[in-house]
Amino acid sequence: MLEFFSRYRNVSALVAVLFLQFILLGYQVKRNDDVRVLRVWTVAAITPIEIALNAVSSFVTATWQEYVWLGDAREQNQQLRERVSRLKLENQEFRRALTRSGREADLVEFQTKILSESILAEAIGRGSNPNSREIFLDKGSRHGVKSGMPVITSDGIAGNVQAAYGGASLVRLISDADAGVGIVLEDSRARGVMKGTGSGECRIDYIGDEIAVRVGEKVFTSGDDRIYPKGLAVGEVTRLGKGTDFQQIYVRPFAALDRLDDVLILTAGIHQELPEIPRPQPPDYLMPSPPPIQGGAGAGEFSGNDLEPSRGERPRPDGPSPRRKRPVPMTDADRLKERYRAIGAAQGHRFGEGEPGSPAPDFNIGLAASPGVGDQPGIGGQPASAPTAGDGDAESADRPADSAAASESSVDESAANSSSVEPQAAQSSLERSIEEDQSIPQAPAPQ
Amino acid sequence: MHAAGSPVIARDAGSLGPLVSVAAVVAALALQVYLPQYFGFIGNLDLPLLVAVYLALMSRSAIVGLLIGAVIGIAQDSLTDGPVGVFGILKTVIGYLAGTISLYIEVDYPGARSVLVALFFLIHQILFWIVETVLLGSEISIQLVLTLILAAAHAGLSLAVFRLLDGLKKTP
Repeated sequence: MLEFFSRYRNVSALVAVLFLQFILLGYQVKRNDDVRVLRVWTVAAITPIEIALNAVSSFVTATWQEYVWLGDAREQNQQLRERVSRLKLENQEFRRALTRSGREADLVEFQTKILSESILAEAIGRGSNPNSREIFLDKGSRHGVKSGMPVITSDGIAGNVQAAYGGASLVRLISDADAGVGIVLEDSRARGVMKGTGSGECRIDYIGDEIAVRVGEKVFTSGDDRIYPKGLAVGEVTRLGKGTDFQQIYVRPFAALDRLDDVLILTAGIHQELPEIPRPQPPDYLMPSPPPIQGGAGAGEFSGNDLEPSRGERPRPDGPSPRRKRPVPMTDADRLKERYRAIGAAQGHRFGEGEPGSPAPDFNIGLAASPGVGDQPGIGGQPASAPTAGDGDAESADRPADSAAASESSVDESAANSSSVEPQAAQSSLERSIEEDQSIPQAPAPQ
Repeated sequence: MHAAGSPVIARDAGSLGPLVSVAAVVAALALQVYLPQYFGFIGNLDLPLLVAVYLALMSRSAIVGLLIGAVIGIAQDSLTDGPVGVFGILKTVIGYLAGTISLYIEVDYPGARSVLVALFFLIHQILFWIVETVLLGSEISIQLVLTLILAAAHAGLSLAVFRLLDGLKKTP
């Protein structure tokens, strides 16, 4: 070493002096990010070496692990494959359990809604007879299942227990050709018997041709068979056919009979009400407007326009403002009664106060002051005449009808000049009514 | 072919004394700072470089030359607001080169010294650019024509300065 420095003394001295000055320079100067240049130089000098060493190390490690040392790769691969297969099976089981859990939850919820007592059962197999529709359930006599108990799902009835064994039971589905269910149609409430056909559909018998049945109508149990409680959903009508005496009605059961899984066995059936039929609400019927009153209408007669507007009717914006007080609608009897009352008042008669045998008013006379009355013949066929002022009094109206000879004028006059307020009020009321009728714009006559 | 470090030129009989050398360095530094206030173009000249080259050449030793250069350079750095060491590094290298060359060629001839001064100025500028840009991260550019003119100016100026310094030599 000393020989080296002595041999290259000058260069060594140069390097030493330069090195010291570089150190001095690097320690003083800071870059913009407040890092000393000496540190930057050091890092810049070391980093490439580190990068190179790291690259070499990574290359060697990767080469060793990925290409050389593969002793346990095959075994590990086999283990992973087995693990994947096991996880796939577990995944399928979990999916199945999840689906089944959802169905069971639905069924349990349905179980709480129905009135009948029931136990939950699971379909574990199908009957050996390929022509029959039978299934085996995992609940039997040990669980309280007895022959004849109905089996239902949350969608609708499925069948009934044919035989109850110790830990299982055989159920005949309603689609079996030998199955029968007493049913009632939703709309008509017609009762019949639904029988299986051996296929997916069932057929309803004993519904007469006169019964209106529609496709899509729901079918419920009627309880008549003494097996299924009343009010359980069965299915809906899919197609109709005419028979000789009874209709041919085909029903698709609501329950998925070909893929039953979880069911309820009704151990104590209780009838329940059929669902209410939603009745269509008929629209309110409004009678057409009567024809307008032609000229010469009698006093006290009112057209349909005189009627109070029906509730909810709105006045036309371009028409006259609605009157606040309209005459009460009057029938012919009302008008006749009003006329008699006016005539009686004109003669000073008070209805209901006369003694038996007292003279009655003369209703054959007319009311001259009333234009509607005076224009038309009186009820007795006599024309009304204009009253004569000054020759009548109130007492003259009390004369009997037969003794009031030809005293129309006096009666009319007394009607006109009577001191009684009632006749005048009634008469003026009639006049106003007629005037109002004429002021009301007439609705166009219906065609 | 001579081995490295073996001088071929005998030491000059005359040389500057230590005090004169220090005075020359101080004078060069003072003029380098003082004159540019009145003569701006003098700021482009590097009087300490001329003194360093002269002293290194006259020392006829690489180590002495680099030490002379280092001292003058650091002293020049101290008069700037920049980091200490930039001119120190440059003049260390120049002093080393001058001291080394002085061992192989005759440096008493003014023409040869002028050429060497021009050459050292160019090297000095190149090293300055390297240090500033590479080491310190500054952005400066080399103006080639100006650099060449300044190199010639330094060569011409060195004739007068070196003659003046030669007159201060002590004769044995």
